Amino acid sequence: MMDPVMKDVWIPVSAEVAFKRFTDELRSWWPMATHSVSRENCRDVRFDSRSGADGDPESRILVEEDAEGTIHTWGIVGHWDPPRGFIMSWHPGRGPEEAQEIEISFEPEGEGTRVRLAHRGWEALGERAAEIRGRYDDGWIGVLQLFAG
Amino acid sequence: MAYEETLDALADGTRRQILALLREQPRSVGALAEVLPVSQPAVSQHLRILREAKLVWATRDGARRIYHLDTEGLDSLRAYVASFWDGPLHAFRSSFDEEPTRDKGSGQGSPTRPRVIEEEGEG
Repeated sequence: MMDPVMKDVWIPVSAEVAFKRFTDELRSWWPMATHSVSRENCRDVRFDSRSGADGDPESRILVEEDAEGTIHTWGIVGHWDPPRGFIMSWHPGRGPEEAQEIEISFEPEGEGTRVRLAHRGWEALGERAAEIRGRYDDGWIGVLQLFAG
Repeated sequence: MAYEETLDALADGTRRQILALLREQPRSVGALAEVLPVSQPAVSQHLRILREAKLVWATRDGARRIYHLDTEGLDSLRAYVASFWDGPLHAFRSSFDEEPTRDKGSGQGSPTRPRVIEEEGEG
């Protein structure tokens, strides 16, 4: 199995504030122009509530809305535990059959919070798993591919 | 894409030599041609490409142009080579940087850039 990509960052606020900024206020900080399916045409990224079909409980989905109003689904939240964190599927620009999983956790540390990201489940990407994992882990691989291209 | 122009501009030994010379100090075309094994028109041509890629910029000193390093081109390349997740995590961290006394000089870089942590062989 391929190792998860793991990143972390420390921020000088409580886990409650960090969780709210990360989720409810996603649009205020997410770099939409570079990190979205529609790039410069991306108008919004947000967690939406979706009522479940056939009696399934309501679920949260992370979506991107572009300038034409088209919705691109990035993933579905599977576990939601504020302010400790959440786990969701992750497939921006791909179908749900290629979904990986990301887990974001918020742990109190010193006068602030350590936010950790784990990105796993690369096997769903099949033959391209290593290449795509590389791009998420270390952008230099993208550059090397450009030169090898 | 800006980074492609930067990469193309850097994919030439003479142009990388020009950048190394300008890192030491700003210079005119003539001063560059004196130390490079190419003609002055060739140096001018290379400088044009470097300028379009925002790797150098010029000031005027009378009739001469003095060339300086420009970091804008390198910034676009740096953003491109950063990991996918570094961008959002850095933006998230920066969204808390709203203290009124933000006196960090040029604002280049950040002491709290996201870092890769040791993986513990899970999964």
